[in-house]
Amino acid sequence: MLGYLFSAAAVVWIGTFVYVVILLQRQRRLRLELEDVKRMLDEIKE
Amino acid sequence: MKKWQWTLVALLGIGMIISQYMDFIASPPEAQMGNVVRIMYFHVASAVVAFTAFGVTALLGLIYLVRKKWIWDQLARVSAEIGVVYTTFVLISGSIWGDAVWNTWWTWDPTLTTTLILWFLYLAYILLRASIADRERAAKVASVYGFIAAIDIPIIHQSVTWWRGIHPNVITAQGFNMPPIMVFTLLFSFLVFLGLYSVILWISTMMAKDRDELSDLRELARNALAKYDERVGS
Repeated sequence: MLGYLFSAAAVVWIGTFVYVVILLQRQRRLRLELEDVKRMLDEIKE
Repeated sequence: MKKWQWTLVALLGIGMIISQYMDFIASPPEAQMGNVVRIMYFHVASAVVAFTAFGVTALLGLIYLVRKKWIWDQLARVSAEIGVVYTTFVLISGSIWGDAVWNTWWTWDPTLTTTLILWFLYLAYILLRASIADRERAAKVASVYGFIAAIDIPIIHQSVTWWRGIHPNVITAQGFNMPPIMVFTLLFSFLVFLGLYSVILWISTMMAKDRDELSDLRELARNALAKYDERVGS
């Protein structure tokens, strides 16, 4: 029982950690895209 | 990713490793339940975070109704979504524990039933929001609904006392009914789970904010390009 419990908890923790990292990377990509669009808008205005 | 963001994620990772160590190595097995007691650290911590998340949804919904600022509504929405995930975790871990201790995956105990109702209530919150196209109206309706649904939280907490079910009462007005090492492990689990909740809430809200800004700017760029094309054409 302990071995299974330990493994299940470890899988949940690792999965959650990977999810947080992926979420942060997605946010970074979104930010970069946002900056690109802002730059494009500035160029249009000029 | 900025340096402080990496630091935050690294701290969270270290917290998870320590929590795993505390739950399975530092903390002793319980006299009657044995190693099954270790499920409690995840189960109780998840329940506390789920209740916190729904409480935050109710509170921020009220703030949105008063201030009408989009960010409060987004925080409330994301908090409810995280709360549903944590409640799912509470129900699953509780079932595994129940099978080992009560010899049944599910029983219609008042605490279990009211928790299941809470899960359905906030699942309905998410569906309700998705079913209303107008963003402002969805936010208003969800704010009121989120506040009413939160009434179930104190009912769950009091259900053990009011209806005397078979669900154990670990945290009472007198404190924790367990040895200090188990209390410390449980409190550490609370801390890591709350940290995780806060980080996911923050990133998801920032993403929602950026997505909205991006869609507004794209619209602006499209209009500006259309005007430019018109001018060049004439």
